Amino acid sequence: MDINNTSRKEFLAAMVTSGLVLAGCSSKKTPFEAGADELVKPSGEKVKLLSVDGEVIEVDKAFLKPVPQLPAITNSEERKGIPGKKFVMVIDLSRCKNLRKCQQACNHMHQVHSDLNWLKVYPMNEGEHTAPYWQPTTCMHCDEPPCVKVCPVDATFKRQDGIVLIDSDRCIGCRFCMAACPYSIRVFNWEKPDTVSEELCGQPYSCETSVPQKKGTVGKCDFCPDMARKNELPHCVVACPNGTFFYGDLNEDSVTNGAETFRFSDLIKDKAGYQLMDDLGTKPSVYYLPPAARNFPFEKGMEIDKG
Amino acid sequence: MENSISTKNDKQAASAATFANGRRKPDALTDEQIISDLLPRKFGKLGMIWMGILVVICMVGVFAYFRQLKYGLVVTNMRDYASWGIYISNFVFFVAISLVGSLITAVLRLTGVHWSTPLTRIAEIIAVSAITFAAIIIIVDMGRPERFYNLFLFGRLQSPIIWDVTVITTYFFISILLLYIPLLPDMKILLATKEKTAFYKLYRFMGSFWKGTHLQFRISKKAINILCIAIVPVAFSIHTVTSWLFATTYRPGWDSTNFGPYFISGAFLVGSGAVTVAMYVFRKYYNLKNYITYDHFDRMGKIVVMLGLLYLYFNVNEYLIPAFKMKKPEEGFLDSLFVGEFAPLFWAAILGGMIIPIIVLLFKKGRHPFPMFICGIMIVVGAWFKRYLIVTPTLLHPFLPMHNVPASYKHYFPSWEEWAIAMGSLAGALLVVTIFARIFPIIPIQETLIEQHEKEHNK
Amino acid sequence: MKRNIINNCAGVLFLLLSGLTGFRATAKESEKGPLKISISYFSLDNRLPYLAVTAKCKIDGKFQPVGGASIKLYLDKDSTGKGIGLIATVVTGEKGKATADIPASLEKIWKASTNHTFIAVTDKTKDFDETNTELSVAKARITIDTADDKNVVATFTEFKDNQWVAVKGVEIKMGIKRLGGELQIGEEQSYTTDSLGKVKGEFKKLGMPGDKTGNIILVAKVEDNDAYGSLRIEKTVPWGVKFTANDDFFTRALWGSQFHSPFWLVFMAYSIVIGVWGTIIYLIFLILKIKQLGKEEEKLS
Repeated sequence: MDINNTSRKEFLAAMVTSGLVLAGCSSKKTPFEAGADELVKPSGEKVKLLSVDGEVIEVDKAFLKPVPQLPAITNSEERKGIPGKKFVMVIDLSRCKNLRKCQQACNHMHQVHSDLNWLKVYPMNEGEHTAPYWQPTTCMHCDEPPCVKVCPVDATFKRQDGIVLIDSDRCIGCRFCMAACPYSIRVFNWEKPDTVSEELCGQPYSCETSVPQKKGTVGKCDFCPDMARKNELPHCVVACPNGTFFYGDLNEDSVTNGAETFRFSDLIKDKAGYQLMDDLGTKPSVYYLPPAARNFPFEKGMEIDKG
Repeated sequence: MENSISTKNDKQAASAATFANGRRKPDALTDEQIISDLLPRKFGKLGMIWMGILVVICMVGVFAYFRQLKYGLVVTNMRDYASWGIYISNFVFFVAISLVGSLITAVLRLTGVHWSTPLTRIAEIIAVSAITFAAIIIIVDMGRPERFYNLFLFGRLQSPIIWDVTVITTYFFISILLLYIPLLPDMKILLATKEKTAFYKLYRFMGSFWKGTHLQFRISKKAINILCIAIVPVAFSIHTVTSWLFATTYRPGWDSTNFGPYFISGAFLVGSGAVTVAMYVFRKYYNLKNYITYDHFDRMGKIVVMLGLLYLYFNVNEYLIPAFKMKKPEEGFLDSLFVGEFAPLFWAAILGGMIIPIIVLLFKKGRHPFPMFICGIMIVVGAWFKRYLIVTPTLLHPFLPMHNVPASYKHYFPSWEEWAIAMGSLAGALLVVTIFARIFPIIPIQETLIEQHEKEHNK
Repeated sequence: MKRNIINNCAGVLFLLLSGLTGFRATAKESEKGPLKISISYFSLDNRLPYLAVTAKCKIDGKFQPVGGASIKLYLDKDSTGKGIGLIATVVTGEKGKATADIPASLEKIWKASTNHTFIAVTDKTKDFDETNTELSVAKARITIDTADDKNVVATFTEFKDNQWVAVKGVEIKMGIKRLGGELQIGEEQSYTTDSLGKVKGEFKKLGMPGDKTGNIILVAKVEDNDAYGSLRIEKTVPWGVKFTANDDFFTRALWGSQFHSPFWLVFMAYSIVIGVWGTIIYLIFLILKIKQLGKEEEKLS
């Protein structure tokens, strides 16, 4: 029993925090398991469970215990990001029909004010005789983020894993970042968000979950680093029934929409991926696949579009 | 006191008659006459009404701000696209107008122009009060004003806002010094008056140590010279850095290398316009016809024309060159200005705020006090709307379409709270100038006396 | 809302979220179908079994997750009321999902057979009638082997007549473990076991970044097999490219943090500030000098 104790803890921990994505009992720690391990500290209380073979195994309660919020990662940890990661997203424009499931999921999970959307789906049409297409737009998490450049108080910052986050406890609400962002993805809490539930209202703000949103501060797509820490995918990725969004780690050279997983470099090469307004020198972390060989006609999305 | 004012006014009237409506220099004035003419006076009936109006506007502004603190910036009509509104354009306006302090005082002093002496203090107090309200309005615009201290705790040197905070603070202190040091000799005169006014203690506190010794004069002259040199680059920085708040972004209409000089030339124009207005008002209501003469207006008018042409030149650069290329992101923006929803305001600002005043002031008769006053008002009002046109149309023309937002997010017209706060801040700035003129001589007495003596000596 | 896991039942049970589809399921009174419960069986690393249940119902013709549904899970026998064979009582979360481990108290029943039936029971509630759902799985095992020629072999066996017997025709997926999913090792999406219960795949993803030592994790898994449920196994192999994260991220840049401003900017800013404020301080000094002179003058007179 004791021989395997460490690995068991490890895989249980990973399992608890990773939902249906199952982790194994490898002796080598992957960064994510390591991350999960650091988050949960053994409580000393053991729970008896059955193994597949019918043995009784003891598992520390802490690894099973549900964690209502991410266990306290300090603000300075949140500002550093996850070492060795470089998160990227690939959005396949040929798959989008403006269903807005991504938007609903995102708004719901981040308790975004009902007037606002962190994720917008634009009807795009470049020229007079070009074909229109739907373009879901998240934060680009630029490597040369113009918004971060202009922030006077380090309230929005770039992390080593490529993610640009906002510290709503520090934001002074000057909205310079909103003016600086060429993608107009930043939103402002002009009033107290009407969607924040009572129980969450008093909870401390976390840069990684971006909740609870606060009056007088800027909000935006956060690439769901809290989900990534749990080896799960961002809410928009999971919510899209057409698998439009792919999320992954550039350092692993892989992106997935949950159902399909592609080698990032191959996908970008094969489908001629591009970045939005890369001529501005922002170096976005979000890549688009052109709307060639579309799964849906553009008009399909008009039914849902309300402007 | 009422009596003394009336006697002064009588004297004034008498001298005004002598000097043919002030068209000539007041070369025959005695020292006592000058001092009694230029001493600060109690408000008359008109003054009280003026003060009352300003205070009321300010109070409405304060009430609107109270509402904004309570409910958040939702009381404004700013939304995600037009995320900056008239608060910011008002801020730019204040910064612009404050630049005048350096124009009149420093540039003209350094170039050895003497006719500007009576205008220096007017210019400086406008600068101080405008820069103060620029700082206030920027705090009003913040979503979290109570976190202002974060700027000092976490200030990032990379952010143009930190640069702006730094240069505005610096400019404020330099302007205060430039206001204060030339005021010292006047303190002695104020303290020497027979009647002890309510501000006697203040005068004592501020300048009782000024004895008017030779050495003191020499040091103060040196200090003023240093200040005049130092204030020029600082004044240029405040407006250049303010322009960088826009020019450091990618947006159409803001993404310009011209923005620094464009803003500075605009600031010079609106500043000189404001001084023209102030000259007229003080001349009329303080009976300073002997000190602010037709000659002053004439010269000021020529300067305004020059600055107007300069600003017009930059405007041509800013709008004609992008319009020649019509890059896609600029297209919608320029269309909205030239023929679209902002066209009436845009052409009104260009014609009314620049071209018409320039044409009027080209004529000698146009440079008489009253037409100058009207032109000054047109320039100032035009400049205020010009700032609005710099801020808002750009924000309403983002690179990606305005989509997935409520319909109200796609347009911007300020709410009553925004108007009240903006107008309140303007009234506040005027209030500061008015109160200052009540306490201190608005025209430097000592310098006028010296110039007078020099003139007589030269004869 | 990321408060996704809710405690229940002495810390043994927990709810998970994944696969969000819709949210405001129970908000309004609209046409509601009957409650549908589905059970999935998972075996991790041939070691820890657990169950996942999903509750949904059709609202306006679309399946929506049902949160807050109380589900009793039993092993083999439906021993309603007696508590025998009770695995757990779980309450579904917002996404209509809940999971349960097999408690140690069921050791005897678990060992008694190689085939097990899991039973999910819900009572009649205000919104739904009672339901009863069953899932039968056989005890099986999946192993993974690798050879130097970068071939991956996975073997699937089930426990029959006291020994492990190869199973033919089971679909197995093989991939490299990556964030949020597995990247398949070759061209084939999945492989089907032969009579020896084996599948063989060639590892074609050459040059994939691994960890610091070049290790990558291979995964072999069976997904939602009717007879065996979901099984999954991992193995670490040194087939990747050594990856070292560049630690020069926190360099000085315009987008850097408060303490990472570029040197040229720091130099420029501070020299300007020191220059200008030095002048201001000097001017204040001059004023003080004037004041001093005034006081001296006062003394003299």
